[in-house]
Amino acid sequence: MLITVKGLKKIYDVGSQRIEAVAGVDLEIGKNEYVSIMGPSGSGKSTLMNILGCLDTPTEGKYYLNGSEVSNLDDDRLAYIRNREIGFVFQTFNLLPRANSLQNVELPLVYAGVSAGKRKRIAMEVLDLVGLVDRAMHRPSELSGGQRQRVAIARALVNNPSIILADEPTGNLDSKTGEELMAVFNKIHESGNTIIMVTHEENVARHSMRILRLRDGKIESDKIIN
Amino acid sequence: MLIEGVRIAVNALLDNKLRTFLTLLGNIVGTMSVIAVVSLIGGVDDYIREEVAHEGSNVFTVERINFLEAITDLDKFLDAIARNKKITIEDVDYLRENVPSASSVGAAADRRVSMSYRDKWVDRVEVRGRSVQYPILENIDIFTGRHLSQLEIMRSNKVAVIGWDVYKNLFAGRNPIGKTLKIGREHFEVIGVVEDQGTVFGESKNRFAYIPITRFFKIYGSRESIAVKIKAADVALLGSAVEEAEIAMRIRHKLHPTDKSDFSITTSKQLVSLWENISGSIFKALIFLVSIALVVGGVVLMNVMLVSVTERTREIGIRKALGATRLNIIWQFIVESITLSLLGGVIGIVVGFTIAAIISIVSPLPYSIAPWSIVAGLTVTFLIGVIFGTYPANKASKLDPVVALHHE
Repeated sequence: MLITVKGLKKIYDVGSQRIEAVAGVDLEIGKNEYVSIMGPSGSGKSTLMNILGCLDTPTEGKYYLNGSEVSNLDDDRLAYIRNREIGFVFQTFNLLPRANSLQNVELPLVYAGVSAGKRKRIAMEVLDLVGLVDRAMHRPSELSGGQRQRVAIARALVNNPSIILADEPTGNLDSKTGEELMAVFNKIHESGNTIIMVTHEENVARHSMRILRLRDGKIESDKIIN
Repeated sequence: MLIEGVRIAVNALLDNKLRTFLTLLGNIVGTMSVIAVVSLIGGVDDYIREEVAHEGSNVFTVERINFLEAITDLDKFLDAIARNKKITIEDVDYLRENVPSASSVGAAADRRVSMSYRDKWVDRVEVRGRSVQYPILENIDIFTGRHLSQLEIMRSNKVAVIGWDVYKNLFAGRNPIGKTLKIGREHFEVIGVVEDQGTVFGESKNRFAYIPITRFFKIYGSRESIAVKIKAADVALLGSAVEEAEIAMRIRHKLHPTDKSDFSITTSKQLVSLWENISGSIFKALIFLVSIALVVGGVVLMNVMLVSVTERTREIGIRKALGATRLNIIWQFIVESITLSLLGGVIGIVVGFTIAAIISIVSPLPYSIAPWSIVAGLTVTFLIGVIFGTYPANKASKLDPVVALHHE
C-alpha cells in the first residue's frame, strides 16, 4: 500500500475544550488511485489532508507512507518527505507572486538540491505537460486563474512525487475552467500518478475513482465509483 | 543556493525601495562617518609625516614659549608666558659653542608685513630675519639667484630672498633679481627666489622673504624674543643635542638644579605626538558615535526583517510545503539581511569618500583613502546583517506550515 493510516486522531485543546478534528481514521490508499475526500466544513477533511501531506503530525495513530512510518518525524524530515513524495495543489494556487512560472515550478527542485541547468530543463518539460511553455516567463499576476492552477499542478509534478494532494483545486475557478482543469488531473492520473483531492463539489468528485465521505472526524462512507 | 538566496533578497529589497533605503540609514551613516573621518585623519597623518620628513626630524627649536603647549598643557603654557626669559642673539652664539652634537645653529625672528613692487602689493607676508644657516635648517632650495651671504648678514645689508608667491604676485614671471621691493617701509634688493614650497591645509607656504637677521633687528628692534633652530649632526644624535641645548641654556640662565627651565624646546616629535593625541581622541569619539549609529541601524534592520517575515508568512508556508527545511528558510532571511546590511555599508563607503573628497576640496584638510577602513566597514556591516538577521530568520523558520499557508 502507498498509504496506510491506523487509528489516526488529531486533537486540539482550545481553552478547556478538547476538539477531535480527526477522531480515529483507518484508511488504505494504493498506487495510482484517484480519491476524493468530501464532507461538510468542520468534518476534518482539511486536517486529514494536512496529515496525509506531512504538513502536520497526528496526536494519535500511525501513518505509513510507502511502508515507512512518518507520523512522528521532526520538521526537517517532514520537509524532506514533502519535497520528494508529495505534490501540493491549493485552492488559492499559492504561487510566489514575484517569481515567474518557470521559477515557481523550479522551487521544489531548488530545495531538492538539483543544479540550475537541470532544474530549468525539468521544469520546462513539466510546463509543457500542462501546456504552458509559452507562459514560462510570466508572473502569476499576468496569468488567468486556470493558467495559475496549471502552473501549480506543474510545480506539484516536478519532483515526480508519490502523491498529488489537491485541496479544493477548482474552488477559485469558474465551472468551465474547472472542467478543463479536471481534464488535466485525469491526464496525470492516467500517466500513473496517485491523486488525493479534497472537494465539496459532487461533479468534481465524480472524476475520481473513489469517494471518501467524512463527518465529525470519522469516515462515514468509502465508495469506489469508477 | 547562495546565488538563489541573493536573488530572492535583491528582489525582495527592490520591491520596497523606500523601506530598504530607510532601513539602511543607520548603516549608511555609520560607515559613512568612519570612512569620512578616517580618510581625513589619514590625510593629516600623511601631511604630518611628510612635514616632519621635510623639516628634517633632526631639527629642533629653542624658544621662549612653545605654542603647542597652549593645547597640550595650558597651565604650563600660561606659566611660561609669565616667567620665561627672552631668547637673544647672544644665546644663539652661546648655543653654537655649547651644543657639540649640533651641525648647525641659527637664529630666527618672524613678523608679518606687506610687501610691494611699483604698483603691486602682497599683504600678510612673513618677513623672516635669519642668520646664514637657514637653508640647511629649513631645507630651502633656491629657484633662481642665491641665498643670503655671511657678509650681507654681518653688514646687515638690505637684501632679500623671496618666496614663490611674492615672486609671482610682484614680478609676474619677470626676472626679479636686482630689483628693489618694499618690505614694510624699507627698500630691499631681491637676490634670490626660493622654489615653490606648495600648500598646507590650503595655506600657501610661499608667502615669505628672508632678510639678514641683523637688518631685521634694525627695523623692528631686538627687544622681542627670537627662536634658535638647531640641527643635530645626525638623527641618532638628536637626543643628546636636545640635552646639551637644555643644559647650556640652564647654565646660561643660571638655573638651580631644582628650578624648572625658563625656555622651551620643541622637536618635530612633539608635533607628531600632539597629533597622535588629537587623532586618538577623535577615533575614540568616532567609535562611540558609530557604534550607536550601527546598533540603531541593526535594530531597525531587525525590525524591518520581522515585518518582512510577517508580510511573507504565506510565502514561507509555500516554501515549507514544497520542502524547504528550517535551515533553508534561515538561510534565505539571513542572506537577505546581510545583503541589506552590506548594501548600506557599500553606500556608506561611497558617500563617506565623497564627503571626505568634498571636505578636502572646500577646506584646507587633505584626505587619503585607507584600505583597512573599507574592509572594516564591510566586515562590520556584514556582522550586523548576521547578528540582527538571526532572530527574524529563526522566527521565520519556526513557522508552522499549516498556519503559514492560511495566513492572509
